[in-house]
Amino acid sequence: MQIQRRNALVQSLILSLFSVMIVYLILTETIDLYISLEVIWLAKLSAILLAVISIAKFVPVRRSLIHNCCGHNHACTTSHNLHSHKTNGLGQIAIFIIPLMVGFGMQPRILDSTALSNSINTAGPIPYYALHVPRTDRLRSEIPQPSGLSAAENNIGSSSVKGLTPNSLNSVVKETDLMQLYLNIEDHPEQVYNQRWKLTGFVYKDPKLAKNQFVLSRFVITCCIVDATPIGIIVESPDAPKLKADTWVEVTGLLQKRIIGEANEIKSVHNFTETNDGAPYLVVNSCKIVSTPQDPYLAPPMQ
Amino acid sequence: MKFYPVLVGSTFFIILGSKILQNKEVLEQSANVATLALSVILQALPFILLGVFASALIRYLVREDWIARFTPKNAVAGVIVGSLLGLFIPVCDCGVLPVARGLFRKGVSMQTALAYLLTAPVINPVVILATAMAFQWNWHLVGLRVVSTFLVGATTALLAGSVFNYRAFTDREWHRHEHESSKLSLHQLLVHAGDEFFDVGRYLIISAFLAAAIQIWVPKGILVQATSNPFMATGAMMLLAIAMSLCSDADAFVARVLANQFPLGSVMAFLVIGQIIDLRNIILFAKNFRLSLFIFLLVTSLCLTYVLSLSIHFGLGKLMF
Repeated sequence: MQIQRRNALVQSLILSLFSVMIVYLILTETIDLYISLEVIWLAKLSAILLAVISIAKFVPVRRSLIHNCCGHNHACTTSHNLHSHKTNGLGQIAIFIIPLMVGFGMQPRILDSTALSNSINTAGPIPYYALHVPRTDRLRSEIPQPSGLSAAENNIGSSSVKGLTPNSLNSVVKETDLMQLYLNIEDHPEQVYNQRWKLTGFVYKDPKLAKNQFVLSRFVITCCIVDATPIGIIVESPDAPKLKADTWVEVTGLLQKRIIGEANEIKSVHNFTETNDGAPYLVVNSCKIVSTPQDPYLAPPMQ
Repeated sequence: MKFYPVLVGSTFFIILGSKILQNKEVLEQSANVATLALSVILQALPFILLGVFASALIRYLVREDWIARFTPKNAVAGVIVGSLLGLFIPVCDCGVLPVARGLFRKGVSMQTALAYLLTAPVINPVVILATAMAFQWNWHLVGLRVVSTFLVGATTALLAGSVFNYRAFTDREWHRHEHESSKLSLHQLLVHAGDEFFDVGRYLIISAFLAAAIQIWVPKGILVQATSNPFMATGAMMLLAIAMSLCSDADAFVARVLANQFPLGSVMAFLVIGQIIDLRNIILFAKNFRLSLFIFLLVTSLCLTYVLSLSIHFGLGKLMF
């Protein structure tokens, strides 16, 4: 009986620590480095449920509910076969301490090139930065408009300005994120290419690229960072050789479309020729190192 | 007796740990593994808790005579009912085992419990919706995933039920004696939920770290060499699904990206097998079932998924799309 009570108290402590850990991660705003913002409410629900079970484990089961059916003075939680002190002994409970140590004691790592180097997204014949994210018809995103545009120019996101030539807006810099950019490439390519864009991401140095190129990358997460999918765009910049991998940069440049060389192989810049088919390619005229953003991960379009 | 193995083991891990700490790259990768593992645990926690609460509620609310009256005696009908139960008790793969155990304890047949265990992570409204969103409301693909999972899960459950008996459920949690007459208090219900949480949770932690380590340390480049060959591509995608051990709410979003490189049949194999056999389920099944049943479930579901994937690639898929 004493063993069972001791185990119940240890279990109660662990459950409450898990609950506190989730609250701690939410309060320190580090939880979004583990799971998507969209599912944080589920983490809060977990914290509540864990606290409830912890209290239930802490409070001793009433004496009247205890019987001695199998010689162990078990609480009659409707089970004769449950020998809690055996099935959930302290040794087996100890494994629950590991995630607690990680949660309380370790600063979460933000996914970067390390996660890409072994990834299926970089090893295939078509790397992730040469793919188009499939179009979603349901929630079509619009490109945020720059504040300095005139009323006529502000209509560029709508279908009523098809006569407007893209080149007429080359000098205007629009700020967006890679996810929105990719979605708009699918929906309104004529309004995206040959435009100037300001984008933020981390530097991924693919060995297949030339020295003056890197991949401006972000990860998109749906539930947690294990399902993280990279998106990226090839950037050509004279600053590229100086930039270290995983540096966060804000780049401004002209978005073009370039075909990838023969046999789908990314080669140095001189192998690209302008065409209607191919991958987005940003020719950068300004590249600024920035600090890692508060929310480094992007959400998929349907959320 | 146990002192020396513990001493040797501890020394080994201390030396290994110090070597890791000296290597910056390995240290960074280890931190990535720990971060990924905790993210899996944080994401799976609510679903496990909902699973153990659902199991406790089944215990509290469902009466054995209802089960006896409403579940079919016929094995095929039982498997169909078990496969459709996920629509009414929607639990993802993290929390499905406690619910299946709760149903079995209340008297559903072995086939019905197994069919629920193998299909509920996909045949439930939340996952159907997530798959539809991921594939831009392509209901053909959603239907194909649901039907494929049903075919693989239900057939595996039916075959397992005809080959094995209830003794193949070796974990004692499947065979708890229920006091039908005694009324459970809310306190007891919560204590029971806590016990089941600790029982399932430790396997979640092990599988989370294992999946994270595979994600970071196992090169996957070799898998994509298989994209052009449907036989190889299917095998590669099945391996990937098992290694990644993704939640059923999220795997469709990853599959959508993989669909750009892999043929449809192999993508379907990824979506089907990943929720039946992943690292978490391998560990849980090995603990809960007799070895022969565990291997039977593993081999049958893998073979059925492989064959189904190829039939989609060579025939069914071409008819549908």
